[in-house]
Amino acid sequence: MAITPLKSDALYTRCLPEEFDFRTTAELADLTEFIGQPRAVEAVSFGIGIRHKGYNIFALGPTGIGKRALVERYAVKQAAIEPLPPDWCYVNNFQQPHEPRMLRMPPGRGLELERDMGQLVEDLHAAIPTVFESNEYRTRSQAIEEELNEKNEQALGEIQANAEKKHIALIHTPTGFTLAPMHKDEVLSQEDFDKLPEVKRKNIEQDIEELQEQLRNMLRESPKWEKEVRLRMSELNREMAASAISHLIDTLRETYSKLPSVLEYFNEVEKDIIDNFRHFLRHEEEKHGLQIFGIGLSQREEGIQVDKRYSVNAFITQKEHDGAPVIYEDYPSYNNLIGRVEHQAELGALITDFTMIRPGALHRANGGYLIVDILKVLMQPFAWEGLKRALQAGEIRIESLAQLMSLVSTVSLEPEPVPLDIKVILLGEPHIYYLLSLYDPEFSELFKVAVDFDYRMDRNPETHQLFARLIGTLVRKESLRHLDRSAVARVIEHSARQLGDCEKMLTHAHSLADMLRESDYWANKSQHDTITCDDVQQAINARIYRVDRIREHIQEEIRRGTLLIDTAGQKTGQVNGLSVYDLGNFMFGRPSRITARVRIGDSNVVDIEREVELGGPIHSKGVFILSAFLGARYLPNAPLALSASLVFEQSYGEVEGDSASSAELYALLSALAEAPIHQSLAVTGSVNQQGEIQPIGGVNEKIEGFFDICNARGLSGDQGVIIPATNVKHLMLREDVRAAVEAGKFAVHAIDSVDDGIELLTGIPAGQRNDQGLFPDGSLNRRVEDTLARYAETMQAYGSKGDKTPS
Amino acid sequence: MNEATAQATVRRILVTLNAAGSGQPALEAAVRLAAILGAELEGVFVEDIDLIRLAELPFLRELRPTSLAEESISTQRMQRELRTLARHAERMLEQAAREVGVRWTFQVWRGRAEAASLTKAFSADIISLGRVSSRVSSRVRGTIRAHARQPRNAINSIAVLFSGSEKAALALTTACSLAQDLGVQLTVLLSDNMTDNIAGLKEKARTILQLYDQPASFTLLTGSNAHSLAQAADMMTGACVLISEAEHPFLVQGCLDQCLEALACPVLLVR
Repeated sequence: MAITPLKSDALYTRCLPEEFDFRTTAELADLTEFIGQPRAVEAVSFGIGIRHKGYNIFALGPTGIGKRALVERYAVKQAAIEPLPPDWCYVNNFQQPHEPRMLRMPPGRGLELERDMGQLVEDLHAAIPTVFESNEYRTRSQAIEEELNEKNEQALGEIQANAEKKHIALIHTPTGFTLAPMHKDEVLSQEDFDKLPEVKRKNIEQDIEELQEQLRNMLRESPKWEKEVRLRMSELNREMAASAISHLIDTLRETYSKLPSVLEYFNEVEKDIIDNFRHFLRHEEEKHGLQIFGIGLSQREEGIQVDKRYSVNAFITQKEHDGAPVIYEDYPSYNNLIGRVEHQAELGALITDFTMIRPGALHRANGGYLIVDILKVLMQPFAWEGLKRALQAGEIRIESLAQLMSLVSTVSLEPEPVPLDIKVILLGEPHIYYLLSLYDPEFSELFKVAVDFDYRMDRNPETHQLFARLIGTLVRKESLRHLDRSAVARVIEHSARQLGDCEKMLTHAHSLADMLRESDYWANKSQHDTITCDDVQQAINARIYRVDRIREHIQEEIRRGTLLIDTAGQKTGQVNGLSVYDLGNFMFGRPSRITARVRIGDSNVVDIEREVELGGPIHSKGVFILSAFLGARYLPNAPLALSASLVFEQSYGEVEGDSASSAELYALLSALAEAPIHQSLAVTGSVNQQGEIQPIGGVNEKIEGFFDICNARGLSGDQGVIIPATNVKHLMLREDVRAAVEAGKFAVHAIDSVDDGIELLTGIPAGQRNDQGLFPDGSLNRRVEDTLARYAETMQAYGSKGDKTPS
Repeated sequence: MNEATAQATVRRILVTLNAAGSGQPALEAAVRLAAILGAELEGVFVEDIDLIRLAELPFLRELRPTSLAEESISTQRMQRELRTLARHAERMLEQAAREVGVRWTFQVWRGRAEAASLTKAFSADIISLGRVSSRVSSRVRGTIRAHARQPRNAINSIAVLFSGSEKAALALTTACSLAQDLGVQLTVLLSDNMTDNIAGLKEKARTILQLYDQPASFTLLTGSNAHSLAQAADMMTGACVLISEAEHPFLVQGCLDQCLEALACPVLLVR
């Protein structure tokens, strides 16, 4: 059956400006919904709505597809109707200062508490000294001391009175006290004492012993009296301090009467101030601190400055939000996510306290939504582990990385963890999602909602209209010139071309916005008020020109004969294959010469690319498939005594993909049938074991790549490209190609089978087996089978002689 | 009388240091005054003969208020401890004198530890006396444990007994110099027992004070003994120094020791 070339209208699916009833996009209303993402919208709506542990969201799709915009919009919408989360304040833990306490406060009241406690401390600096400088305190404290003095004087007086009666004096020795007998106001000497009668001496010794016992008792009692005085002074001090603080803190108690945790904190504050009231009695110079070499030393009590001791670290306050927070963390390092404890250098030492605890993104988004880019999280050391641990534990525990890795063992702060109620939304490329699903068992437990973004949508009048509104919305957002309808149509067509599908459009917001910006630039250069079709085309051309240096070089070398490509004549065992080069942001096609050589052998098709490890696995697979096709189609009842080699001529890089497998098969068949192939044609398409031609990628670039060579050499009229019929729907060819086809100077043939292809390439009918199982005489298949039969007979002949292969 | 006169008159200042360690304020006052007047400092460590004697009595025991320990007393130990304290006192004197750059001498004096004996034994122009006796007065204030501790308060006020005599004028001049040097308050103590013309006495004192541009308050003593002095001293807050002419009637006839006990502050006698 003769294969007719495709008509030019099959090569391109236009978007007609007449479809639109607007003149420019300025007339269009902004697009409020997301187009082409029904699955993602449904998923994100579900993910945001469901409030259960583990139902965090992973939005997967290519970069620039609009993942963040979509999830943020839904999150903000939902957050607006959700209640404000509480404020969180860190306060001093008076029992364990290295474990600061957390206070949960109603929204907005954290700052209020911080202000109130600051005022309380200021007031105490005035109130406590006033109380302790009062006449009441002075009189009462002196009375307590006087009582002790009286007690001592009385006890000592009794001893001294008894001693004087007995002519004994209490003497202060270098290290203590003793009692000595006196005579005429002088201590009795040993000599005089010895002269005394024994009875008298005994009496003196006895008297002294008795007085010593009294003195001993007094000395024993004295510390108890002193202790008692200290206790009473302490009680007095506490009473006075309490009187100074009570009315101040009672006012606060009234203000925060409905917050039990705050009231409990006030109780602790009150107790601690009473215990440490002396901090508020220090002189001014002491408050300013000591200085060493002009460097101030702050006064610290158990590691915390006195004024900070009762302050409040309003850690998270909600004054900035109207509803639940929606936070996007651009730099999701461990510390930026989990929070950190800052340190201050003081004379070479690093010090910290609860006022230096800083929140992370998880704290700021607590009670709402946190959006982060998964790639950035994974790139930051321990950030992913930290995020997962917080989600699993349902609380945020601030630990420094040094602590976490046990690098330091010094005492640091261990702030009370904050309960976590959050929905985390990760944004990332699909491959990261799949990798995490495969290799991180915790991932699936924590991120149960996948929001899978599609990058394409169907083309039809309705979607064209939506796309036009999307363009209008972006134009307004970017403050660009509006597009007239021809420009819109061109943008839609280009979008289909970018996707390589005439029935679909690319819904990639970033690349669309780029195209609009560049078109606006060219419109400006051309002094157009609106962006026209020409401006869009100029933008497309300029973009291609900026990146197609390599393509130009390759084409130049083909034209100059350095790279051997025939575009006319016939060659046996040689065919023009088509390959695509992908430079990341630019793809282009180029023809490659594929040759095949055959001889008798042991059923071995050698893929030279594979032998030298330049062939990728998919390419090798294609070669194996064509080998299998040969074996199955020809001489099914005889061994295949063929040795063939296939090669991509002048290819020095890796060849991957199976799109050349049909071309390789044609070269092989041509060699076997000794039927020359038209070099005016180039071929692309993969083949299966049944001989069917299968679709390939980059069909537009491949066709244009061969066309450019032919066009440069002069179009002969019989040049063209053979493509799989299943790729026709992907055709969005350039205008110059379409024009050449329209003029009959170039052809695009769409085929379904190997037989169609070989007929086009050789001009010889392929032929089908008849009832006897034979291909028609003269057909290409018959010629192939005859050659293979001959090989098999020869092989058999050599085999009976004991040789494996002919020399 | 002015400072130049005082400088010309005062050449030697004696300060007593004793085993009880109560001489610290007396030393401080003496050192400051020696620096002001350019006088030589004469330190005397008093070995109370009472301590030497009692150490010979074998049945006596020493009770220690801080540790509540007890130990018998021996002559050897007592002498060793007194020597140790004397060395310590000498070092203190040396350090204090060096700091202000005055000449100094030191000696150990053994005898009856009473002010009268000391004033007789030495001929210095000013004698700075702390509590010298080892005997514990019945007027001990505070706890006996506190009594055992060394006084450490800095001088923050000065009182001067003024009788109107020439020596009293020298005492007042000395007090003005010391008060100005230390930047402390000065109180002039007057007694109605001394004269009927208190106003005249006050005027005389004011004349001297004006010479020094020294503000002072006046206190009238109601009694004529150490008790009235102690009451006046109690009125003044903190540690004080009492300066007086040596022959003041309040301080003669054995009243000086009572004063030292009652005041618990150094007394500077100007001769």
